Order: sequence, then structure tokens, then C-alpha cells
Amino acid sequence: MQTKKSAFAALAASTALVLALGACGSGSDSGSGGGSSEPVVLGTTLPLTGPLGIFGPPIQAGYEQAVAAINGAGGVDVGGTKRPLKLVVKDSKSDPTVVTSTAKSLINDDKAVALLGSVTPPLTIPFSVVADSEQIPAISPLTPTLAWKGANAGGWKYAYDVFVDETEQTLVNFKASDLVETNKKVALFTDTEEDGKAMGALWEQQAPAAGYTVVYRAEFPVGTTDFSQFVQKAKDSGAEVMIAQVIPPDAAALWKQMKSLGYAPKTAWPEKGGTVGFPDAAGPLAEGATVFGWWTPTNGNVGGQAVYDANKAKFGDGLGTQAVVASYAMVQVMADAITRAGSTDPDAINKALGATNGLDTVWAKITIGPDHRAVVPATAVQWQGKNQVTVWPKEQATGTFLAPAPGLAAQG
Amino acid sequence: MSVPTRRTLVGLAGWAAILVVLVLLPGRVERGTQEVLLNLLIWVGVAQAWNLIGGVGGQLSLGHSVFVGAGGYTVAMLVIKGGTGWAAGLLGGALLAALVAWVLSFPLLRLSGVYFTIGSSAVALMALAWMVTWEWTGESRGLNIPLEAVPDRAVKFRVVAAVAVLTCVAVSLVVRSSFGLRLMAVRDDEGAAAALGVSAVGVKRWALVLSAFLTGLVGGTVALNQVSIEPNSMFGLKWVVTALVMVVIGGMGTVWGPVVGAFVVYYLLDRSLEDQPVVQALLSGVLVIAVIVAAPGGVVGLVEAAAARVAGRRTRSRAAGPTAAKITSPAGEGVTHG
Repeated sequence: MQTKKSAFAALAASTALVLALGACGSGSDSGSGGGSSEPVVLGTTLPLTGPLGIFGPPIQAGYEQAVAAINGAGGVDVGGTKRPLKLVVKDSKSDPTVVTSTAKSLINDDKAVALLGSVTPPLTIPFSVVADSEQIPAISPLTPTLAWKGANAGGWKYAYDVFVDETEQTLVNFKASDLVETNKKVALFTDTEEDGKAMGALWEQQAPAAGYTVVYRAEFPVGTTDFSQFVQKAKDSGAEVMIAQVIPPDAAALWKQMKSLGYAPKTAWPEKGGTVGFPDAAGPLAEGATVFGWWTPTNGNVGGQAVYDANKAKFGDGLGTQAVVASYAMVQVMADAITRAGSTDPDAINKALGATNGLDTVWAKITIGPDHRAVVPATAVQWQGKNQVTVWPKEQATGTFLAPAPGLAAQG
Repeated sequence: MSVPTRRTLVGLAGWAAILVVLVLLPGRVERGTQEVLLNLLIWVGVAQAWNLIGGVGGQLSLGHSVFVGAGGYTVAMLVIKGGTGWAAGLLGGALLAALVAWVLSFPLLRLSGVYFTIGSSAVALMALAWMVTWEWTGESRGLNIPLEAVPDRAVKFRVVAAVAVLTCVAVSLVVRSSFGLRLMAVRDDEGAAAALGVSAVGVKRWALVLSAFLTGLVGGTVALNQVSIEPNSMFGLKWVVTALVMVVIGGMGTVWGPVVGAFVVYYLLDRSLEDQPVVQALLSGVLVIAVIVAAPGGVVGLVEAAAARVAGRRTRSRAAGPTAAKITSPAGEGVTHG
């Protein structure tokens, strides 16, 4: 008798649990056609905490400001009716597993009709997988496009990526290094992430045509803390151009060990690891560190300077604010697609998004190609104090290229 | 039919009924609810599989993320490179995880107590370091299972539900079996168990292998759910640490403890407080400490104690009737059992 009671109690408990969860999970759906005044929900899962947490806040700011601007102008036009945008933000904790669960939650719980992405292939690829599997359009602003494209051999169906093309991006390091006198010898430090592998191969491939020779390449997993043996070998190779593709904490550790081992190349590129907040992590050693950028005041954008100026006090004069601009543009692209779709039906938005052609945004003119990529031109920016000055291309430069990198070259 | 056999059959009928309810859910609940349940069931599976060796067996393994990863990566590799279906991949992942556990058991089970825990965590860290540099499995880039090779949402949910229920049934059967009694005897006093002829290493080895098989099975479903997997998300210590917390909060060594613990940690803490990461982390820590100090038996232990108190009161009130009055001592002292 006791056993039967237990079994029934178990069954009752599980049924109650299911029902309770069902009650918690139910919510109202947002209208999909014109005529409804319901907000149009856009969802985003951002690295607000964790190792990539430095990238989350500027992206969030860009999304929020764009949504506020569109709502301030009456909302997004959906089939002749102006509807407000509603942005739902979730923290991915820089964890791909959490990216998947939060992206699904944005679709299923928050009823997002479209998703806005974040940064780097490890976060953007699972995000894009959710978009394709749930058939919800999603666009990401800050993930190198070739690595992203290569993660899905069959081609992305609902996911889009707007950023630089690594082939062009890797040439920037050589073209900008041409601005100063070097021995054209290159040392590479690349992690084993998608972009580390892809870009490492591209630097090796493109160096000869650009007149450079890769004399040393170190490869290591993300999270490596001891770079001393690699640094010593790079120093011994005599390379005066040093390029690294690592995450921010690894870049700071690498720079400190370069300094302590007395390796001071003429041009030093921490790339992904040196984009945002590098002086906070590496201190004065960051001075002169150069990375690729993706926006200049004169790159053909429309209204970008106003967004940039409004944010540079908070996110710095450099890539932090460029990330705000890029993210802002993603909302513009998505809002444009919703308007052209005339509906919040995901398939209609997806079709319109894929047809985006020559759209003026605060970032640049955006055209999405058949492979769901939109490529924006890469630039080179150098840390000078707390700011990142555009040093290449020369005609868009906002400052002079300092070489050798002062932070690493300084005595003491 | 003997009482233990009848109890086992009734218990199995209960789990079968739960499985039927879960299998019928897709299409009857909202997608969001189904997704929450799916993740909850994955955590039930991981926690329950760990409970087999950690709770019932008393071996606090921190190496179980290896089995999650082995299961997940095997499914992905078999589907992508072997061209097999996902079902064969799941079975292959579980078998490989069991095989890995069997091999690891030889060095690990030479250790006991805290040394076993440290040894198993070292294995997990080594596996993670290996996977981020192993080119064949995509290094730290990981693997992407083609979407067309992954079961649809409803089938995926049913598979996860079946695996979660299977882990619960396995633990339920183990604790009622003679093997389970030997395992618990080893947990409670290894020396005494050995003196009674129980092979402590043998019992622990098979418990570890069974636990790893189940964990590998769950890991395979994680890969099918994630589609895009990489070493840190599959081999990270997060799996085993979270499972341990769930089992401690729910009740170690009990069948329902991991289920309750998964609900408390995943649903009440993780999901409900996802916008408050600091509060979430603090609450998890405080909750674990509070449970260890105030209720070492976890939530299930508390409920069982409360139920026993209620049952005791009923027994006493019945005993306080006319017949009982006759058998109480002249001084009126009764015997109570807490």
C-alpha cells in the first residue's frame, strides 16, 4: 500500500511540475501582421559576464540606442502601421551552451521575431545554429565572416553576419606595417579558435604577396597563461612585426611576458585581444598596440559620427565605440527588413533581410550577399593613451602611426 | 509475488507513467515550456547519473564531465564523419563513455576519498586540455552537426525524456538490488564490507562504468540539442560541479534527490534569476552551505523527516487510544521513534 502511494505521489508530483512549468512558460504572442500595435520583439544574447564580458556592454548600448531612436520616431513600419520595437537582452555568460539556451528562450519565451547577435565565432556560431534550427532571422555584427561562413558547409539559412572579411583583414596588418620601416619578418601568435586557425593560415598565405615572411608561428589553446617559450622563440627569430589572434585575457598576459622578456617589435598587433579595454588589462604596455578596426568617420556611413560622439565618453575613443556603432546598424538593418517584409513573420523578415542592398547605416553601406555575409572594410587603429587612433588607410587616418610600439619599447 | 518484487514493479510502473506523460507533452505545451523541460530533463539525467556513483556509491567524482564530453563528441563524430544515424551515435557515445570509465577505473580506484576526487578532477582537466588541441575533433573550434542529421524538436524531447527517466529507473533499481546494497555497504564502511566478502573495487568499478554509460547517453543528447559543440561546453567542469550541487541540494543517494535538486538549481536559480547573475551565484553557494549544515539529507531528506514525524504523530495518537492506555507504563512513559 505504501509503495503504491509513493508511485502515485511521484506521478502526481511530476504532473504538477509539468503543469506548473507550463503555467510559468505561457505568455502572450505578439501580432505578426500589420494593424497590431503590439511591440515587435527583438532578442539578443550578449556576453555581459565571463571572459568576453568586455564586449557585451557596448553592443547592448548600440542596440538600445537604435531601438530608442526608432521608437522615438514612432516605431517601425509594419505593413503601414508604426509599431514600437522591444529589445530583450539576456546574458550569455560568454558560454556557447548558454548562448543556445538563451537564444531559444528569447524565441520561445519572449516571442522574439528576430535575433541580434554578439561577437566572436564561438558565440556567434551556436547563436546562428539556433536561428537556423528555429527558423528565426538573426544578424550578428562583430564576427569575422569567413570563419562564421566556414562553420556551416551547407550554408546558413536564417543567420547573417556583417563584419570584415578575414582575407582583407589580414592584409591590413601588412599594409599598415608598410607605413614604418621594418625587416618584414613576422611572428604569429594564434590560438586554436576558429578565427585563430583561419586567420593564422591567411597571414601565412598572404605574407609573401605583401612582401613579408612569417619566420615564427606559435599556436596554443585559449586560456594559455605561460607564453614565455613562444615569446623567446619569436624574439630569437628577429621578427619586427608581431601579430596575435587571442582573446583579451590572453592578450594581456602575452603583452606582459613580451615586456618582461624584452621583446619589442616595431609593430605589435594583439587583434581580438586588444580591441576593447586593453589599457585597463595591460596597463602602459598597451601604448602602441595596433588592431584592425571597422569604422571611420569618412567610410561612407550616414549618421555614424553622431552615434560615435554620443558614446565615446563612455566607451572610449576607439573600438568600444565602434562596436556601439556596428550594433546600432544591426537594428537599422533589421528594422529595414521588417518594414520591407510588411510583417513580423520570420520567413518574410528572413527573405527581406537577405535582399538588403546598399542600405545606408551609421556603420557603412550594407549589402548582404547570397552567402548571408555583408563585408565592411577593415581599418587599423592604434592605442595611443586611452584612445584608439585610426592609422590606416592613410586617407581616413585620424593620427600618426607610432613605431616601435612605445609600451613594449619603453625602458624600465 | 514477494514484497520487494511487487515494490519494484510498482516503482517501474510509476516511472513508465511519468515517461508516458512526458512523451505526450510535445505539441501539448508551449515551445518555451518544452524547451525548459528539455533542459531540466538533461540536468536530471546528468545529476542522476552522477548520483549513482557520488550519492549511492559515495565516490565524489569530479571527472564526470569527461563522460558528458565523450558521449557528445562521439555522437557528433559518428554522425559527421561516420555517417551513422543519431540513435546509433547515442549508443556509441554511451558505450565509449563506459569504456573510458572502465579504463580509468584502474588507476582512479586505487585512490579513495579526497584523493579519488582530486584524481578524477585531474582526469577531467587533462581531457579538456587534450580536446582543445586535438585536430581530428576540431580542436577548440569543436564540431557542428548538420541540422538535417538532428531529430526534430518533438523527437529530441522524447529522447531526452526517455534518457532522463532511464537514469532514474537505473538508480531506483540499483538501490533495491543486491549490487546496490553492496555498493552502499562499501560507501558506508569499506572495511566492514570487505570483511563480509564484498569486493569494494569491483563494486565501485561497475558503479562507475554504469554511471559513465548513463552520463555518456545524456552527453549525446546534449550534443543533439546543442548541434554546435566545442570542448569547453562539453568537457568543462560546469557539468559535474552543477550535478554535485543539484544532488547535494536534492538529497544524495536518493532517487528523487537529483530530480528535486535539478528543479531547484536549474529552474528556480538558473532560469528564474538569469538576469541577476551575482545573486544567482551567491544564492547557489549559500543554499549548498545551508543544506550541508542544516539538512545534510537535502530537500528529500527534509521531506522524509517531516513525513516520518507526521506518521509518528499518527501512530502515537492511535497508540494513545484505549488499548494503548492499557500497555503504557504506570508512570505513563511512552516510547517514541523520531
